[in-house]
Amino acid sequence: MPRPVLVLSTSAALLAAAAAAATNDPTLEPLDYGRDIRPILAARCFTCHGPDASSREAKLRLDDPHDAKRQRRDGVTPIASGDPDHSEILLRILEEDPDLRMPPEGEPLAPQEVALLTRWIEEGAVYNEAWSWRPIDPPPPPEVADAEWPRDPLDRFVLARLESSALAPAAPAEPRTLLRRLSYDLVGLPPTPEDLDRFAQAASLAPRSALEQEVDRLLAAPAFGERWGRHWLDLVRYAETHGHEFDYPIPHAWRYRDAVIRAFNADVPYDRLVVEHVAGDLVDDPRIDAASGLDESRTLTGFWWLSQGTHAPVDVARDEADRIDNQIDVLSKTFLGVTVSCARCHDHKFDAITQDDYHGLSAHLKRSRRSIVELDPHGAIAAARESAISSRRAIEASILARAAAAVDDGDPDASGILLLADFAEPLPEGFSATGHAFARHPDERPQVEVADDAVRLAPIGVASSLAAGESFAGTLRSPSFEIAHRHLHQRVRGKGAARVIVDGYFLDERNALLFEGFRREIASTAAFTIASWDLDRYRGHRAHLEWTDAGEGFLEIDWIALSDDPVPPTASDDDGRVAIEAAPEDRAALLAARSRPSPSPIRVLATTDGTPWTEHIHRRGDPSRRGEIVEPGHLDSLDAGRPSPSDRLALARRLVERNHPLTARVMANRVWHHLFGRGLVGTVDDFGALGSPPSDPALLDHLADRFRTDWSVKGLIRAIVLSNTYAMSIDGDPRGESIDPLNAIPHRANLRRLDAESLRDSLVVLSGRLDPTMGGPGVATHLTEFMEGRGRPGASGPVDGAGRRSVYLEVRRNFPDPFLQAFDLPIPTTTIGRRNRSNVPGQALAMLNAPLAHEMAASWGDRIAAMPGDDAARLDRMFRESLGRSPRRDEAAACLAFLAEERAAASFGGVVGEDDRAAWAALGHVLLNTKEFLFLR
Amino acid sequence: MHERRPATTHCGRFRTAGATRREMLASCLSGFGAMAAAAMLGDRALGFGSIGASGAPGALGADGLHHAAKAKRVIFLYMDGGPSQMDTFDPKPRLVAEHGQRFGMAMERTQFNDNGSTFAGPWGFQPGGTCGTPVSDLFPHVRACADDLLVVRSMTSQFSEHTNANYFLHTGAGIAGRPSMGAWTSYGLGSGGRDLPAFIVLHGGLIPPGGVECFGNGFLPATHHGSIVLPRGSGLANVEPREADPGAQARKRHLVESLDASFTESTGRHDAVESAIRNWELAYGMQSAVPELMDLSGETAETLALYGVDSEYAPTATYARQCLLARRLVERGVRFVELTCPGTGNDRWDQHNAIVKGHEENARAVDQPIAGLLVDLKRRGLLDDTLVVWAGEFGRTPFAQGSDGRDHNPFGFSIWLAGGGVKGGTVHGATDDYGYKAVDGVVDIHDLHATMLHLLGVDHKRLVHRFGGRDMRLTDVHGRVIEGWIA
Repeated sequence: MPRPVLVLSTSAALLAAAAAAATNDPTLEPLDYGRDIRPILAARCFTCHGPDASSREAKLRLDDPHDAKRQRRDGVTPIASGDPDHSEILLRILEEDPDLRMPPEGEPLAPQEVALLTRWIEEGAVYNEAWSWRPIDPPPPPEVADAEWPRDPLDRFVLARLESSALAPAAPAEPRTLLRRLSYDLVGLPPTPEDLDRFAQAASLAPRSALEQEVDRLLAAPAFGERWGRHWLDLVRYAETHGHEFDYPIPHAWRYRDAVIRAFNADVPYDRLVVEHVAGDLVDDPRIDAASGLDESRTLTGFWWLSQGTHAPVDVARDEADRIDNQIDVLSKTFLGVTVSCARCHDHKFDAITQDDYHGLSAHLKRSRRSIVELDPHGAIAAARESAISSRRAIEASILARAAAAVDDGDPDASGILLLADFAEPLPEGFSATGHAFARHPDERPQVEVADDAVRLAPIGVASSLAAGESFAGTLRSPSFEIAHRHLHQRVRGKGAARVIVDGYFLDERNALLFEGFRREIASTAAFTIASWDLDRYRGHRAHLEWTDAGEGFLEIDWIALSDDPVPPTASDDDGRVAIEAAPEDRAALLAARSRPSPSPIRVLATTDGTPWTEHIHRRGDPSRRGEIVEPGHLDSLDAGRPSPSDRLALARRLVERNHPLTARVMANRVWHHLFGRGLVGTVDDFGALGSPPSDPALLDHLADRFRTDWSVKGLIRAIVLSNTYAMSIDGDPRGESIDPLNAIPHRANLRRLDAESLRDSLVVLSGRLDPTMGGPGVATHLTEFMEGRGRPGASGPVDGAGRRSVYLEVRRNFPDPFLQAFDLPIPTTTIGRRNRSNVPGQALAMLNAPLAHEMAASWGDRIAAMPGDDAARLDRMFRESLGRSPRRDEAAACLAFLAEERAAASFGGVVGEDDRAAWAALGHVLLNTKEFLFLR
Repeated sequence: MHERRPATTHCGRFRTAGATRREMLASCLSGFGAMAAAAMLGDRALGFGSIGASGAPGALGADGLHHAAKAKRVIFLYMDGGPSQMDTFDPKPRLVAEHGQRFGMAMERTQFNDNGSTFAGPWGFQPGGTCGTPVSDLFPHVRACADDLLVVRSMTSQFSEHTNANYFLHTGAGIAGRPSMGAWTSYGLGSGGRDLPAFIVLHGGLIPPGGVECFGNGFLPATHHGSIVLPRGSGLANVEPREADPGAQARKRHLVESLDASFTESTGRHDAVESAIRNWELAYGMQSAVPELMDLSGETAETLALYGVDSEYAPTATYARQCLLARRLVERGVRFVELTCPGTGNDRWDQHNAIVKGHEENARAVDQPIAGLLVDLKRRGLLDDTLVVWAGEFGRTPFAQGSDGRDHNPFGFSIWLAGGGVKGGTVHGATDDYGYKAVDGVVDIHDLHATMLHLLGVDHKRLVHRFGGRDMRLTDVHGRVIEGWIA
């Protein structure tokens, strides 16, 4: 294309003109560095004059105000505040000699870009922060002309903006329309005809209290958590399989899903929800669910591990780096609405996020471990454990009264070995245990052991999972270490799993390729045995060890040594320990105590804290190219010189500090997005410079400020849905379509297509097959012949998903439910706060011909045909169940005529009554295919 | 606004336009943006004929493309599992000479890390066509078409694992979640027809590791997702009416249309509702268009025999139907047709052992059908503007895995292109003496993508979609158009 031609006699002329334009127009708002200037500099200047030192030219940083405004030795100042004529960058940008002009490559800057830079310098070249990084600063609700209209303070913000455009808000929606909207928005299900009648009647008498009553009913319904929990699952890329080649399952993932649903139903304060996600394993007051007795805080930490998973990675360090990249992406987008992942390879060009920030977060994650953790419902296991230990000790005491004290047996003491642990203490420094099997203190270790033939002194210097008995389950974890020796030797006995975990890689539990034998079963219940690993392939990598006692025996580890010798070191291990005289009844009592049953733990996928680990910058994002060391951190520019958070809990608390500019804004905007179909910030996951700015910053800050007073999600939803802004109908002032076609400041409601789950759930409700059971493992996916590939489940699930709500259908990454996917259920890869709302023929084909649509319509038809009343009454019922209204007269006539035709067509040789049910089913199928059913007004 | 973007810095791809769909529509100045926004709004969900509908200034040619296209459509013959380059298109006499000896180069770590000695396959090579490009005895039919082939012997990938390499080959990134090249093509060009989606996967039976995400729309609107068509039965999911009574659907349609009319009357004009109505009509029409596509009764016996539709070897017959359907799809305006392999019981081309049996059976399944497709396209005048691409996700090692297999090798492997404006009868690039690593004319998957888009009249740096704060491309921040491939 022809290049934009910049005809200038002198550059000064343009500067003067631009400056004059700036100063002569008092109505212009000052420019914003983040919004207006940084993008230009980032696109055209920062490559050579930005944060990246390796590509920097002329020792000039235009991203750093101090450097950019510093006068150089030759008297030149790159940016002279308030003085465009003496700002070298402008002179160089406008230079006519292409050899001297900046930037040296590509087209010259466009005239409007030059004008922006000029005006910005004229205005003082203020490097202010991006809007979203500034403190939340809500102005008081503005004055409005129509003082009657606002109900909630938020209405005044909206109305003031509408009034300034001379737009009137749309009239309130009809009560039935409003209740249908509310019902889908709050619980994702259609209102029943009874709900509609009740509300319409109550609303005719006392509209406000009637509405409040419905809102409170819906907010209290368990279905609320299923609806808003599902929104949340989109953010954390929730799935029950890892995808990749074989789509291996993610163990216990559904327990995370259930904890999320319970949390939204319990209205757990959002700041608490964030802390529990990031570091629920570290809080000192874990939240226990009253009904299940489960530690919800711990369970929510499972979100870190819901990512895709590659099995047999040839480069396991890169595999971990990619996994951490995804974790950081999800963390930063979900909670902060910023994209930190850009900074894996280089400082973010647009937002104040550095490569240090990225790797500071990465350092927290390298220290964090994916762990299957044994929870203790209602503390019953802990109680049983305590009682088991004390009764065992009583028996031991009576035996030991007649015996000498036990002594530690020998541990290897050869040169050239690194003794990782000798277990003089049962839980040495850096070791940790979950569950209830392993002894944590010396006095929890058994002191005598019973063999078939004798009672003997138990070995002392061991880690033992026999603290309370064989039925207790638990996991022991070592500190992390860098693999510096080729061989690992452990002296162990018992029954359970011993693992070596390299760089956090875990899928060897499904497929051992490249990690053969890294996870192995120990099966030597009587004598100690030495298990050895060859770690040669992973020298220099980070590793830790894990031992799992599943509650079907015990595990004891005597010592762990690392050496370059394939032959294990020898030690004066004494297996011929001293036998003790014990009364037969003591021996029997000991055996009974040891085999006493324990309550069963509930296992969850969760996070445990590992060993602090030195993280380096990865140059160009490549873990094999190490740069300088970084400390664990948060986003530095938000921390304003404070020390970095040293652990995940400190990081989590930093995220929810009252003055954090992003957390409250991002969540308040998400709530608005779900209720209006569009966020005040349209790019709900990107509050950075590349996202769209808020349509009404004052309203956003007003909402965020209210939200952070109590962090109540339900409270915020309640306030919004009770506002008059929410209650508007879709029929707005036609002038609004030209003034604000995006309806960014709502002057009417948005017409919205039902999302995938609401649509499917509605079909199930209409069929009469809805099973309201909450929670539990996902319902198996219904497979079609079009769903093939590795990891395909062996059996197909039911067409109707057993009548369960969609949130309880299994989420298999490689086998997504085709019906839900057609309606934009996202593929769980990273945070998706705003789903696509596509409009494709595949959706129409699904409603026309999918087995689900036909089966649900058939059940619906059966149900309607069985109802009392005449055709008109049944037809009315069908309309009210599906569309939330009665048919108009012409519609009723058309539908009754259709019924008559269907009955005639079906009656050839049909069974009495069959024709009627088939006709109602056909009518039901028609209603499901109407656009009115598909869209929410 | 695209034109100002500098080519030198990859972060130049960022734009600061509004990012929601309608905002994009409102703010985009040029054809791609406006077209893409239209697609996202679902206004023209299946078929916008060209990308220049908005009459954008300057950036686009009269046909709506960035530059003149050589190809209008793509048929991608995906060779799942990674065929061995040394045994197909890259003859290496040194392997034969050193067969069984210690491998003469340093060996990189491999997927199974069970690396043996230098290994030569049993297949001879013969020159094909008048150009004389050597092709192994695994592909006698394709060899006869050598004058149409541009054989690239210096392709490289970044991944040794199937799934990552598959995602990379399909989407330009080694993880799930990015749009497939078919989705990008659909996004950029739309469908050339009115009654079929723009991106169709003709599924032979083997879904690649990584699953249907290899054909995903990623962050692009769902309309660009590859539609899976089976070469048998009804072909497409949910395309068969379930009503037993043939008149029943027509009666339903009548009532749906009448109720929809009453709805639009009461709500006024809403784009989303109107396009949903159009899609419903289109879907209704697809119920007859797809069966018509699947019906091969109009094909001559000679054509069926050319492809091998009646082959006694079942995988050949399956792949022959796929190839024939591919031709029928591109005739009907479909932009991007991908063929997955039929199962031969050998775990795709992934011969970690028993490579002789595995490669022979896999080649037998696809050789005649592919040649039939090339010949048939050519004689119908379709090959000139149909780009055919044959590629696996990586190649295989010139040294043995165990005694009789080959492991994954992303460092150098062969693919070929035909038709669609590429230089037939030529060879690009070279690997070392063993066929292990590309050493001359080294290209990678991004280059392949960039060149494919270029042949379609699309500048890979300007086909962008804003997602997660970035303007995303098929080629990420990489890719070169390989001018030497273009006729």
